[in-house]
Amino acid sequence: MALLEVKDLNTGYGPIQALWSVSLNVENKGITTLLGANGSGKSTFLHCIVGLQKLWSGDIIFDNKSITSIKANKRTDQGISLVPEGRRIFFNMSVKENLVMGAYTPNARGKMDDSFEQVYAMFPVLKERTGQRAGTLSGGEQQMLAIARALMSRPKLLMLDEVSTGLSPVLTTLVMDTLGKIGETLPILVVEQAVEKALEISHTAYVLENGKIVMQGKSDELKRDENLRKAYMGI
Amino acid sequence: MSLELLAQTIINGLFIGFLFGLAGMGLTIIFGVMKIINFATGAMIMLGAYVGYWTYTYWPYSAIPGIIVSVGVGFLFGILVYQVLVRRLIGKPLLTTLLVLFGLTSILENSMLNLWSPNPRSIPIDFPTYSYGLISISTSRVFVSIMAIVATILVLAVFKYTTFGRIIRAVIQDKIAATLMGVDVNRVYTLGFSLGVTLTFLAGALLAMVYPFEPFGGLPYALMAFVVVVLGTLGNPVGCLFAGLIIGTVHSFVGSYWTLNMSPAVAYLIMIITFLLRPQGLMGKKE
Repeated sequence: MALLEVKDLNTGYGPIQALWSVSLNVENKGITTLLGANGSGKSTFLHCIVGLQKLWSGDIIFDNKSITSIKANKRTDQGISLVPEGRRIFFNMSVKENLVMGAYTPNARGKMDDSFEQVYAMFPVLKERTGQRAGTLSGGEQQMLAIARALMSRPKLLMLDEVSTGLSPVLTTLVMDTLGKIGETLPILVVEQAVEKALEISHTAYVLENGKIVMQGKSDELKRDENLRKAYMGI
Repeated sequence: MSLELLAQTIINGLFIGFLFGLAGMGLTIIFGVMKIINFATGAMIMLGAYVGYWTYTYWPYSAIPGIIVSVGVGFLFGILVYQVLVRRLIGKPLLTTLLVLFGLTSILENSMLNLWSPNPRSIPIDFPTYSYGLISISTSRVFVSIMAIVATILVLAVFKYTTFGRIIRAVIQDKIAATLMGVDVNRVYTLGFSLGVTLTFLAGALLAMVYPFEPFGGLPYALMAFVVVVLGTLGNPVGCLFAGLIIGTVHSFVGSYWTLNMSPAVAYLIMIITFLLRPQGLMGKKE
């Protein structure tokens, strides 16, 4: 049984359709990745799942329940957490305040102390900088904060939109490895342009092109696919 | 130029500055949270003044109930106006907001005129006035200033230290991120707008204890509040307080040494110069 089941999703902006009958499953275990070039509709897809973008048609089933008509802010409490593109941390707040905001939902609030322990263990640098203004962190630290903040809501599914953007190759590897570790216990949906790294840590992959799923399968099989290598890895 | 006049001018300026600051803070919180400019500020200040006035008329033993009732009515009135009107203005063109809220101003002002006549009124509280040489300090002004300071500190404390304040700050910084955290942004808008209107009402209730007011008397105060907001950096309550004191002092100096008629003109000249030299306001950082 899949944790997240997206069926036949269509959506767009104004008269322009952005996603065409997209269906995608995220299993209850491990990392699933959605790959695609800039403008292929990856972020739009994530926005549909968190409720920031209205569907034209289709259905989103999460944890055996349709969430299509649930408002965006209520979906967080259902157990969906998104690390948005561009991180969107609260720059004028301290690291700690950002994390407290992450534990906003009723479900998460009661477990806040435990969550703090967990994310500080995972990202010790955030503990060191707990009182520092988030806007003064380095790019890598900001990305860690964004991930940690998403974990504070105690999600059943963690989704990440382009976490590698703006990070050096070394930091990208570091962040991806961290995701690999988180993925051992928490199902993750990663949306990425860093195709090779994403395929390495994931078990299932989908490829989105101009709003349509054009390829899907096991990650290690896709990694060997000639067309994919040509199109996205420049090999 | 006598020293007494100078001292008196500064005292008066700081005093009215607190009121400008309070009204400005109401405006700036609303703008910060939902990017709506409350063009009905003037009428709301006067409504706050009338609420304070009527409370005192029916219970003329203390100044406090008028303030409390005005704050309470302001909060409820804010929720009502948000739910009926402002909710529909979010994300609409500025012109729509301008016209709708000028419409609201007209409805409020003419209703006040119809209900309570055009006669100027003031809350006839008998505060003693102390004189030191030629300088006179009325305790009503001291009382009003203290109330304004207390309200400012309270708002700042709520912003900085409470969960509600943190949520408001989160929404001011990034609505989408706040939504992703699970925050019901529409509810924060309602409360943010009500908080702004509450401060506007409070400014009115305090003002009524020292100055006469009438249904159409809100505009000069609203104009000053706008200057204060720009000078103090949009969305920054601390900046508002300082800007309020600056503009209050300027207002008072122009009144003492030139003519009060020119005070709004000078205030707006300062605003225009601010726009040209420091568009981010006095407290803002460069983009």
